Amino acid sequence: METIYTLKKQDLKPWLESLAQDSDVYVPARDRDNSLVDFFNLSEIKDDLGFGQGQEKRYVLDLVEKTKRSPKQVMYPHWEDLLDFSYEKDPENIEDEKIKLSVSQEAPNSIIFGLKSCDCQAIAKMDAVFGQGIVKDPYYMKRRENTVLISLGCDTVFEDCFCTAVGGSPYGFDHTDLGLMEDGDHYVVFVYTKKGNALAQASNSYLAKADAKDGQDYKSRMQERGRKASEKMSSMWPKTAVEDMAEHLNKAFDASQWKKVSQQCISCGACTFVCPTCYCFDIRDDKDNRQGKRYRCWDFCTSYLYTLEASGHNPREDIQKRYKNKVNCKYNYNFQRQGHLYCVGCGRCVEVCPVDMDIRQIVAAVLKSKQP
Amino acid sequence: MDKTNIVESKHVMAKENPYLPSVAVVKKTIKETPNIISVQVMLEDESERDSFSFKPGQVAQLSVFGSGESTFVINSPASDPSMLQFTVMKVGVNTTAISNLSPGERVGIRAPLGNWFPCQAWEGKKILIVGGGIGLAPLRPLIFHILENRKKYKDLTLLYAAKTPDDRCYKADLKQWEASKDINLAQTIDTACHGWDEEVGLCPHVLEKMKPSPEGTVAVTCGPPIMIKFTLEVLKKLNFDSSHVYTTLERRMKCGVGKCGRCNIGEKFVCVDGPVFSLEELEKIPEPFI
Amino acid sequence: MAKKLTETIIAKAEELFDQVEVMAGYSKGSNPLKVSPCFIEKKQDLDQLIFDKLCINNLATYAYRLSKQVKGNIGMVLKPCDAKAVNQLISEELIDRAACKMLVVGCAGVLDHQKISRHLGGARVFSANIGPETIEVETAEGKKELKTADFYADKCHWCSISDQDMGGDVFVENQQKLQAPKKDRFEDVKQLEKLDLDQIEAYWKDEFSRCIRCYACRNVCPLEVCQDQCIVHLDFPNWQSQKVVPSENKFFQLIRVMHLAGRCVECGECQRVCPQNIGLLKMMKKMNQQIETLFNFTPGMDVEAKPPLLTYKTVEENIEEEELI
Ligand code: SF4
Ligand code: SF4
Ligand code: SF4
Ligand code: SF4
Ligand code: FES
Repeated sequence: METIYTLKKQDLKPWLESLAQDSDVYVPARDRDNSLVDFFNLSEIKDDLGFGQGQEKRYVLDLVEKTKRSPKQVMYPHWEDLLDFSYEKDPENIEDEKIKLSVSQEAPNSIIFGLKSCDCQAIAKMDAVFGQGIVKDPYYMKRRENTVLISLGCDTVFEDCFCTAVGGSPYGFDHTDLGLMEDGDHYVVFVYTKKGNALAQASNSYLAKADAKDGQDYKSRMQERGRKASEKMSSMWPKTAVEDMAEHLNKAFDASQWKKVSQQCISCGACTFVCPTCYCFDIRDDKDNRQGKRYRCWDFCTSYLYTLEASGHNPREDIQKRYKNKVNCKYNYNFQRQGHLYCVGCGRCVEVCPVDMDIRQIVAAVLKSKQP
Repeated sequence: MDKTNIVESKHVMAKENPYLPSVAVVKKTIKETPNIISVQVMLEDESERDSFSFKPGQVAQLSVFGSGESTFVINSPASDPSMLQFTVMKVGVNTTAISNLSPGERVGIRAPLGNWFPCQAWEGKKILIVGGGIGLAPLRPLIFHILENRKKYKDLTLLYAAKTPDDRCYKADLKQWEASKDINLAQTIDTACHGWDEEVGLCPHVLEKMKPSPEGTVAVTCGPPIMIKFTLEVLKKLNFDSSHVYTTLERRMKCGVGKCGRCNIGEKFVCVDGPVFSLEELEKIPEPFI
Repeated sequence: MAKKLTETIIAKAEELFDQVEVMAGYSKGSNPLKVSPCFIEKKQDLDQLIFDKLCINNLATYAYRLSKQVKGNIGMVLKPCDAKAVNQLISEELIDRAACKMLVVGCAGVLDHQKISRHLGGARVFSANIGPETIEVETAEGKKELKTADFYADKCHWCSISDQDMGGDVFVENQQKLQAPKKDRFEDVKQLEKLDLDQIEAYWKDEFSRCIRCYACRNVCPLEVCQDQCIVHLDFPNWQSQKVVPSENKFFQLIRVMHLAGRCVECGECQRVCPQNIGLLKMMKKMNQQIETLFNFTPGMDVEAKPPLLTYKTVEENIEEEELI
């Protein structure tokens, strides 16, 4: 899609509000009561949201900071009901108790605004998990189909960003529907997909088409900006082709080294729950008297209980086995299964870890141990 | 029913929603050992029942609504998919709930899941089956398949190990097989006890003593992880080729369709790439038996 | 100053090292405001140890696990307040006094990096230079100078044990003395108690609407040694739904509060590690206040003391029987 638009900064608020009329629009904002930056549903915080510094509102739009949690929960919520069940007596034979099952799922139209390139990459990886394989996941897919992604290129690179080390880039717009670049008093809007195109056309009172010459100029500037931001990123490890990482991980570490790097981990779920590509879930039943729900909820592989079998046998009893599995899952196993690394270098896990575990250093150590 | 050919298996994924179970009615429960019970169920919906089929080795997610799902291998003969049998050891909540089921109660079934024994590829070969305790369950439909298609296979040998005579599952089957000329049955228990006149000793040791010839033989084993591990070692020692040795593995499973990430062993998902693995495949995966 | 202290710690650790199999201490972190726990198994690696104002982690978190993992003794670098947790574990007979060699370091107060990053509006810090008076940080917006006194961990503001050895095997004195301005320990609890019940309810609902049930708070707590068997995950009875909703999240936290009654040493770790910035410590403090008034007991101060809820008296001096009914 070649069309390029521009959006005046002062139009951002009315544009998003107009989009919110028939979609849930998620925007990154800082909650000033507790300093957290997260994606919020615009219609839920609208009256308390300031678009710019200096406004005395509880929430303020934040397009620079990374959100603490990833936007994955818009399409893959922390928990969701899979089905309702109820035991029902047969009126003709009250001895006979039947089971009634029903499924209901809401999949509202959603727009995620202001997500970063790494988060878009991550959604593409989620798509691979839930949309490919022997069967599609209908719950995820339904939400995913109704979701439009509007991302914003990164000019600020944070200390824990490392997207370029895992094959991404700060202006990597390859999985987004619309991509935005900040440019003085306006945003440049690049259209990438049919979905994005439809949204842009429907927004013609806010978006103005750029002429061809400007368009060329914007494009080359976007590339330049991406290059600049990439340069700011500290290089994490010896330059290694993404394809070779799996191989290195297979061979590099022996058990004693895994023990050393994972010893401090306290087996919590923080890194997993903030990670945009972690997708593991548990399925459980909540029953109240004669009816209940079967639901799924995120689970975390660093937990002792994750692989604990009913018999008491636990194949990943120690944290070193669990952490080794986690790193391999991201850099090795999923690569062999799907052909992608399951880390997009967002650095969130590094930031939240209570005990300063740094996946970058561990991967770097693996790769270094394989250097000649 | 055509017993010579197992019809193409219809995966659970034929359903649009792979998480939605089919309702089945408990028909019969059989007490195998003091803490192991077999449950026979029948899909409630007739058309579902008619179109259902599975292959030896495939598993199901069985649930008592309110207690959650657990994974069990379907251990009844694949030639009669109208009645499905599961064997359950009472160890957790769901298994306890299943053990307490009585005929007429409803359960949820998501099946068939996973891969199966490549029985067709083994035609014309000798089959050596080594099972331990409740690990005979996945092997049971395989044994039935071979017995039903007896002419297509050469010798069939089953070595079955249990802690004590009482801990053996499927005692009625064992009795029949003991009398049958179609299968050579050897049984062993861990320590000698009164009235037992068969082998005594751990399964791998007995197997080593038996010295089965690897010539034209496929070996299949299943049991507790530690038994599988040592049995495979013995088979290697006896010069079995890893491509001719099969086992089934267990991991906790949740989704059963390769989504939830729970059941991985290295890059393999037990629910999709397994539960049946050849030793050749396992040799490429790190630490499969822990 | 910090350098000299670190050197002394390393020297003392070397002396202690022959008696232990592994030594838990602090090492350089991945980020200028963090330190990283480390576990040293070889004497020559002891030079990785550091000690400065960023050593906020309570290494007692690892005391129980390490003591189960290694056959020999374990060694730990502890601040006096961290040593309280170890003492409490000992008094509950969860770890063996003789098998745990404590190197207690006098403390001039530690900084709460969350406070710093909140002050900076969450902006990430590229470099930091920390002095007793000022902190110099560099962020995307440039260099900034902060007043050290504003960023002490809460617990430092009411600490009264910063220069006690707390029953350790070795005590390393700190030339710097505690500089955190004194504050009232129950200030925030009092503020909250001024509100009426509906408002308190609303406050906690808002707080727990953010909880993601990552269990970091539980797993970091040195005293929650039962984390792998936690009733929160139990299938039967199904006490706690795994659905992440404010009421369930609060329930989980109330379980923690109850199970830590008379045990919590107020190290503040649970609140520090919460990725969702939930003010968990208010609850813990409230419970401790109760325990102090009812049983006149402060956890972690005396290895010989029997924690009041691990024993019973036929008559409790401070509890009127009627109150219980
Ligand atoms: S592993 Fe860490 S850095 Fe990689 S995508 Fe997940 S949270 Fe981001
Ligand atoms: S790496 Fe850190 S965040 Fe992840 S489980 Fe371990 S302690 Fe928790
Ligand atoms: S650390 Fe915070 S977010 Fe995590 S479970 Fe505890 S209260 Fe909830
Ligand atoms: S409850 Fe929190 S403050 Fe109390 S001992 Fe545990 S981690 Fe420390
Ligand atoms: S059980 Fe979910 S991936 Fe295998």
